[in-house]
Amino acid sequence: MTRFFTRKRLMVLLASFILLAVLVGLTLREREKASWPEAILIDAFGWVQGVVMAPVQHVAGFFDEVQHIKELYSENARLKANLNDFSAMRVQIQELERQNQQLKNDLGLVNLTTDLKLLATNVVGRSPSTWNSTITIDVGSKAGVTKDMAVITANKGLVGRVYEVTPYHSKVLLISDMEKMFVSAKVQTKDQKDEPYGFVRGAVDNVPQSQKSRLEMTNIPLVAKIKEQNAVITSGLSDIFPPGLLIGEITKVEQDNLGLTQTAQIEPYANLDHLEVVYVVTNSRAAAKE
Amino acid sequence: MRPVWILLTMMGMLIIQSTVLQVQPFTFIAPNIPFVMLLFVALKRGPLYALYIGLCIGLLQDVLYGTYLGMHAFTYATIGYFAGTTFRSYWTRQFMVVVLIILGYTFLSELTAYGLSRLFGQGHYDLTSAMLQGVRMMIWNGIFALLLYSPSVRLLDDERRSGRTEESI
Repeated sequence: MTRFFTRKRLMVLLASFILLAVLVGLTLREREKASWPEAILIDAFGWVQGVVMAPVQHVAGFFDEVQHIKELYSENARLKANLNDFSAMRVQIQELERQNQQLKNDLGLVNLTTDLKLLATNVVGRSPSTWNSTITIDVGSKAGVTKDMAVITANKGLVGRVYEVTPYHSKVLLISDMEKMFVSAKVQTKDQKDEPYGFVRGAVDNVPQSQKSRLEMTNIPLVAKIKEQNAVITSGLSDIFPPGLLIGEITKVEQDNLGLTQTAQIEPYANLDHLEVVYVVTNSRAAAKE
Repeated sequence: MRPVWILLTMMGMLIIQSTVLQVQPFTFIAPNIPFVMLLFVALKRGPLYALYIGLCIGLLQDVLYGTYLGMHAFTYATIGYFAGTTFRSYWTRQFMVVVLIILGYTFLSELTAYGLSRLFGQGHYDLTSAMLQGVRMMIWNGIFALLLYSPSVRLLDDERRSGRTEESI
């Protein structure tokens, strides 16, 4: 029977572990640009993934439609009933928007959330690993994408940030990542003077791809009065994310282990498990810094 | 099958894994197909071969989807090598033994990747969740090992190999 750990094998294992530590050490810090061999590989695989992804999404869309066909009838009836309310609401919103703009002009404020310049992009791949939360999108530096730009869905739900850019593709780190994603966020409460701040990242017990992605908000002051169903949005204190992007809704609030702050479990607005088209915010603060 | 074809096949599997199996409703199917293939390479071609192939495919996965290089490269290379050694040590003409070894190394690879992400990352995933994920992967990899066994073994059979001396390190 073969011996597992001969002296030679142990030496090779030790040497490879040292090599691994060196390689990780060189690449662990966030780099401004991917090296050219990496860029070539990401672009080449990105194109192939794009070709594979298009028909797959059509087939998946078909299954999705079949699955939801029953719900469509009831949804259609409900939407028709809401249509009358919608017309009245639209007039009301237009009036409120006009008033809001007028008041902002009077106060000299600049509207930060509605002036987002968006670049629509397709998701062509997703990390198959349990331990990474990245997606690949089909726009890169040639389309004006730079590192750390915010990525959102059509309804302004925050998806993540651009982590690595190659000429034709970009790697996006999802907000459910635990290692390199801390989003400065605040909880929207009825009392505007008491909107507590905190950090959002992937939940501790949230192993990607094994369940629905969940987030957690930490470092919320103990005195803050937050409750379930409160909305969490980006705070505007971050260098990366514009203010007012929707992150999610609080599903549970509890004290941290030491009892000094509160931690909130959040269900993200963006469906992080099903991303087809996402938008890169090209005028985010990261772009403004450059 | 030539090494370059093995590598290309595994790249194709990686693409399927990162596209087809990441789109709903197919997301509930969650095996690690390139890893299952790597273990078949270890079975049919020996530990050194599996080490090189594992290193290449792991590094590729790190470049394409990782936030730093090395985690999957190290995991796949080490697991490939030791799986090859294990296949050599036990009587692998029994199909059940092969499947059991695959299940064991699947769990071990998940734990190795979890350990490395804890060691080098700032994230603190829950160990219980990681173990559950390991068991979940064992189930899916087991199913795919059963499905892929026959075609993979046929593809990986190297007729020239019969006259060649055994690899050793």
